[in-house]
Amino acid sequence: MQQNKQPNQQIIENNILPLNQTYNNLSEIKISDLDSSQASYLKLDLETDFSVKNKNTKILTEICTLETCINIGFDSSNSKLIENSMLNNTVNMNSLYKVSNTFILILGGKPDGSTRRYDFDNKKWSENKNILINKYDFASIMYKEKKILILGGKTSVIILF
Amino acid sequence: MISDLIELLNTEENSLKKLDFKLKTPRSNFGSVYINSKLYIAGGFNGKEVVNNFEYFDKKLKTWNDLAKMPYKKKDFCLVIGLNKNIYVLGGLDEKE
Repeated sequence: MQQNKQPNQQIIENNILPLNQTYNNLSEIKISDLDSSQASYLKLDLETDFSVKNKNTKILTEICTLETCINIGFDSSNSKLIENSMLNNTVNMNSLYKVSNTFILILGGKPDGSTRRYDFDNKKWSENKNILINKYDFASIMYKEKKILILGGKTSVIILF
Repeated sequence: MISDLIELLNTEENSLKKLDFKLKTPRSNFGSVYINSKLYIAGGFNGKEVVNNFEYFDKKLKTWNDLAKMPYKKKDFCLVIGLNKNIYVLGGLDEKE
C-alpha cells in the first residue's frame, strides 16, 4: 500500500533539500542553506525573470508557502489540517492568486462561480461574497499588483444555494 | 454562453467592475499573457469551435491587433512568456478533444 507523503518528505527524498537540517515549515528554507546545484534547481529562472536578484529568500518563501497551501487542500493525508475546507466542493478552479502575505484568492470556476479566500493566519477558507466572478473557463491576469483582469469565459454557471 | 467581457478585479478595494473595452470575439478556454503593456490572447473556444487565433490588445492605443495564427487549433493550454520574451504554448486540447 502506497503511503501518502507530505510535500516536505517528497522534496527531501528527491534530494532537493540538504538532509543535515530540520525544517518545521517549508517557508523556513533559505537558498543560502543549499549548495549551488540545489539552489539553482529551486530558484528556477525566477530570479532573472523578475529582476529581484537580492530577494531569493523572499521568492523561495512565497513559492513554498503557496505550495504548502495547495497540498493541504488536495492531499487527503493532510485534509485534517483544514478546519473549514472550501475546496472539498470545488470541481474546477480557474485562478489562484497570492495577493498579499496573509491570504490567497481562488477566483470563479465551477460549481458556483464564487471567490474563495484562504487566510494563512487562521488557516481557514472563506467565501468572498463581494467578488462573484460567476464564470468559468475564463482567463485571468494579474497585470500589476492587486489588479487582476478577468477575460471572457463561460457564463452559464449553476448557482448553488 | 461565451463572454467577451473584460472585468477588473481590484483586490485592495475588494471590487469587480466591467471595463469599457471587450475581447475581439467572445472566447473561453484560451491562453493569455501580459507583457510590455500588451495583452496577448491565443486559441480557445468561441462557442462553435476551437480556434487558433492569436491577437493582442495594445493598452496604450486601446486597439486589438491580429498576429499570425497558431499552427494548431487549441484550447485549455498554458501560455507563458519565456526569458527570451517569446511566448510559448504548452499542452492543451485540440479540436477533437
